[in-house]
Amino acid sequence: MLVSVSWLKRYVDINVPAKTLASDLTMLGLNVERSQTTGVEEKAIVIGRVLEVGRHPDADRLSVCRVDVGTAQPLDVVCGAPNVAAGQFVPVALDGAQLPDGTKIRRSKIRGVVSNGMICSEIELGLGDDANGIMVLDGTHVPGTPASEVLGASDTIFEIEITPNRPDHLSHLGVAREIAARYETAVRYPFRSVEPGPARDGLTIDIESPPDCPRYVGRVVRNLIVAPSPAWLRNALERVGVNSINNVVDISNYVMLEMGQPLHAFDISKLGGLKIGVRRGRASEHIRALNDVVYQLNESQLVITGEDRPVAVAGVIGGLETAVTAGTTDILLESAAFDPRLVRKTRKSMNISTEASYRFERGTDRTACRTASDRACELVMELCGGTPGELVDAYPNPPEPRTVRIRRRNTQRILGVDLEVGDIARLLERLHFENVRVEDDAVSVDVPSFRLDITEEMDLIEEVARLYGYERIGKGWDFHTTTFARLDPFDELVRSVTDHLVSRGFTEVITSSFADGSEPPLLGWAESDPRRRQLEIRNPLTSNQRYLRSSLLPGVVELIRRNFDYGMRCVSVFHIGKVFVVSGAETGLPEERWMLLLATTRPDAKDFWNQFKLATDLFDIKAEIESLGMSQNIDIQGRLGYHFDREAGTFTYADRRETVIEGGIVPAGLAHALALEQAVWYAQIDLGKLFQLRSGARKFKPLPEYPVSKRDLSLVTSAGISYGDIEKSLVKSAGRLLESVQVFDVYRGPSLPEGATAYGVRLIFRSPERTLTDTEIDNVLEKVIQKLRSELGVTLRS
Amino acid sequence: MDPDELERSLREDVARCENLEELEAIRVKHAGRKGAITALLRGIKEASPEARPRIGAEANRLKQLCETLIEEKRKALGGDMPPDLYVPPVDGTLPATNGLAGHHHVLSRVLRQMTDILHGMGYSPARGPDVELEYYNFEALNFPAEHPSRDLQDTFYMTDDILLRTHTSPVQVRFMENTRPPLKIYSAGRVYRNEAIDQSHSAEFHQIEGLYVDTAVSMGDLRNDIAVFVQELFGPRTQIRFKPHFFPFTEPSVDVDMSCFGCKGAGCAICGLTGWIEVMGAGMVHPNVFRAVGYDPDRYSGFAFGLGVDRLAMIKHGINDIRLFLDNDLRFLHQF
Repeated sequence: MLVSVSWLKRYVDINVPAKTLASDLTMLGLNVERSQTTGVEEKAIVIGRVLEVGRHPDADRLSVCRVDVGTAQPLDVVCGAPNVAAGQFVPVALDGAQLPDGTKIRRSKIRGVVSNGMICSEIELGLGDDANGIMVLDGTHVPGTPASEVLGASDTIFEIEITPNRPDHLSHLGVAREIAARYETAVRYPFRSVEPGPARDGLTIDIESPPDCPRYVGRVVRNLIVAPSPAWLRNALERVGVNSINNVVDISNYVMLEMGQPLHAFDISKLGGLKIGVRRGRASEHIRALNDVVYQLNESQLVITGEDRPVAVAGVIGGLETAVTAGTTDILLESAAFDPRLVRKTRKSMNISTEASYRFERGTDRTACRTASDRACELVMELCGGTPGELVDAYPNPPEPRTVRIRRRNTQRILGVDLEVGDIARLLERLHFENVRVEDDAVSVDVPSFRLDITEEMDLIEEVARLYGYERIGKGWDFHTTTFARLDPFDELVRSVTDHLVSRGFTEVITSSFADGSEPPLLGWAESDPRRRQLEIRNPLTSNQRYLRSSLLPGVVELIRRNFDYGMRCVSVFHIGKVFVVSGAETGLPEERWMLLLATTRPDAKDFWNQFKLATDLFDIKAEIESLGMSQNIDIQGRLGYHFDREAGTFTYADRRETVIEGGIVPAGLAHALALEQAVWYAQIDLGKLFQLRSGARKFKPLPEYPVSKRDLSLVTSAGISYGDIEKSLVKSAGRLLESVQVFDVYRGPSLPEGATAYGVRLIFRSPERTLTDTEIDNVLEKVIQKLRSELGVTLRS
Repeated sequence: MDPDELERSLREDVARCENLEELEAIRVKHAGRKGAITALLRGIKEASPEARPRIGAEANRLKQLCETLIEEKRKALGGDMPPDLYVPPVDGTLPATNGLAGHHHVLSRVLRQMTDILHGMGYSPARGPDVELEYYNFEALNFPAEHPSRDLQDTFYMTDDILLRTHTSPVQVRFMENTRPPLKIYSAGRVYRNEAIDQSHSAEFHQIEGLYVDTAVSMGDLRNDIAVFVQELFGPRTQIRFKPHFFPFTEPSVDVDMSCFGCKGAGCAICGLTGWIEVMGAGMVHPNVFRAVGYDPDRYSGFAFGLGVDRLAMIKHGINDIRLFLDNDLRFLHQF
């Protein structure tokens, strides 16, 4: 909200500079976000006309200007600005002038030349940010005129952030009350009551449901003249960003900005009569509002009616038909209170927000309706002429005063400050709480009607703290923490995995949770895969963010694709994030899975002098998975079943039937959709499931006492038999003497039959009990070879 | 051949030699049976008697020299070492083998710094879902239905009562529902706001917040915990100040400013000339929040504080556009 400091000064004495006031308000919770000074106050700053610009004899960057400031003799003024030129009208600070920042201007010698003042820039006058050169005025002016006459009288406009709990701050008086509390001074209220005229207008007000409209003050004013507002009113409104329309409309805006009570004026001649109603809208009705838009009405909206015809949407906007215009002579002035929730719902359904609805939906002070009506009537009489007519105050249930109690000990407990009851009472009195009474170790107060936010003790504790000063709370304590944090094992896994992958050369990425819904069919998922159904957002920001992701893959592949465009061809990245899968949970919430996605790609080209492997392949990604397992003490190969789908080029590692890891080459559909021009390999790991696979503390196994024996075999397979089949068979048939198996060669070529592959396999045997004899090993080997032949048709290569 | 010529050729050959086989060939070439030095020695017979002693001495000297040079070179080429340990000479100015480390994302780096500090201060982690019930995100946190305070946070809805959490505070409620005080926790994670995206606004960003509840937790404790946290993050001389503010779930509520690390409070471009930078919101837990989780507000008090991880990372590293965090341009990520 925009607040004018000179306007505030009508209600409260302010003896501090605007800058101090701004920071004091901020520290009271009225955050001054911007401050803009207009006009000039200092009388010794006048308009001057530059007659000549000469060079300074001793300084290249300075000039000596001869300036006519209305005195008999022009003055010499030294100026450093590059933009000074003869013929300009400029503000000149004369000897003795004080600038807004406190600098005093004195007649003095600058490098040996006497300067009789200073030609000012915008920033020196506090009028703007332009420090590049002096301020040059448009038009012609009489030299010697006080600058305030040309640039306007001084004022400072604050832009204040008003929090939704303090609607009472949405007016100048509201802000003035806080200032008075802060500086321990009084508020001057400008009100006096205006007696209504005799009841002969036939005004009636019928409120259908008092909870919708707790109060409606209607007042007739007759024989007024609609005209432009006087300068003071126009200026006051324009400074806080409100356009002046005519004296009647301006007065209602002025009173709203003064007191926070929105008002509305109807032209009586267009109302058709003075039977005023407040009721819900009907689906058959519509209204053309002041913004020239026709709105269809309904049951959930509150309307004001004249002779049962909708003439305004209550608390939101008036109707165009009954608006005050140049020819209006008699008005009905509305000053009312409406249900905040109803106003909010109504204005949301109409998709508008007005100054009035903004205040009503936050809550207004219903006890002030009559005062605001009096204030407006007084101003109308003063500025538009007119005589007050009948007044009807429909006020079915005036509220009881609320009493709230604040205990000293609880205040101390919450704030950590030793305040006595007397201190608490004084602070609350300054904040305009009424009937403040000390009771033993507590203080009871009546809550002023404008403080809608105060309902319980904690609200008062906050008030006490606010005025006491947050700055004084807990300062200089010597604080030692006594608890000890328990680290979360899942977080530790995430950290450790992150560090491992970073040192393996992977860069961490973080992608959006949103998805556009086009991905599931591209990912090669089974029809029954629950990830196919993505969670939909009802009000997405854009259409390509309508869903929540059920896989990290599309987002990561997309960013790899984008980095190709930036010229990066070797990309290794990983992302740890949540995916969302529709679940049958009673709450309706989805399952949120923490996933790790790693992806790597390199072009099939040598780009480094001692590089011996070119493009990435499946075995690189398998190596990453196994190395990740090792780093976390998880035996991936031992604990999970591996399955490779030759056709798709993808693999899974599963714990019984549950997939823990899946990966391979990026599915063709996705690669195609993203126009990927380089093969990307990925693995996607369910971190929650991986977490379950962690072993406990590692247990020591005695070191082997006996040596190993190695045997190399060259095994020839026919098409369709994979290395995995061979390994499975030989591990099974070799029994427990086989310690490990290594493939050291894979060969396909002309010396073998069509489709055949030869594997060089090294078998390593060891017994924990004795040194193995050749005969023992030969016996095992014979069995192994026989099984391979009978089960898989594998032969030994001679 | 002229002995000087012979010596020059010998020295050249040895100097150029790069392996032991070649060295042997050089030895044979010069000092072998058909070598040049041997030939010189043999030539003595045909020389005049006066010249013979000089030629003999020269030939012997060359023979000695050859042996010395070859022995030296043999050692230099690792001739004394087992063959597997010998490393031939290389051009050491070539760059290192290509296998550099990756980079932590700047957000997770900053987040880790924060959680490390909080662990040290006694805060343990707590977690909650991103897709949240309206009850936990708003109602239990004292945001009444149809109240303008809900406008503070533009929300993505899946259904009437399921939404994307707009802050990490629902975790407070979920945690307190299942735990009795005392408790000291933090929760960190992604939050969502349905806001137009620009340099300083993102529809998805990250928050971290702390919560401490016990029988006599005061605003003084809050001030001190925040001071410790901010000073660990931005340096021991960092000052903080509290400004009154409004959050539905705390009362009193504060906006926390820290003194600008760029200018030490004098005013500069980082802090917009004010000397202060807004870093977080905080306050004493509102009694209605305690009531919602079944705590007696007369018995317990507590504080909560929360901040935007993305915003703080921007401040700390001088990053001028929040969109860079989720954009994943490697030229950006590789800077951290």
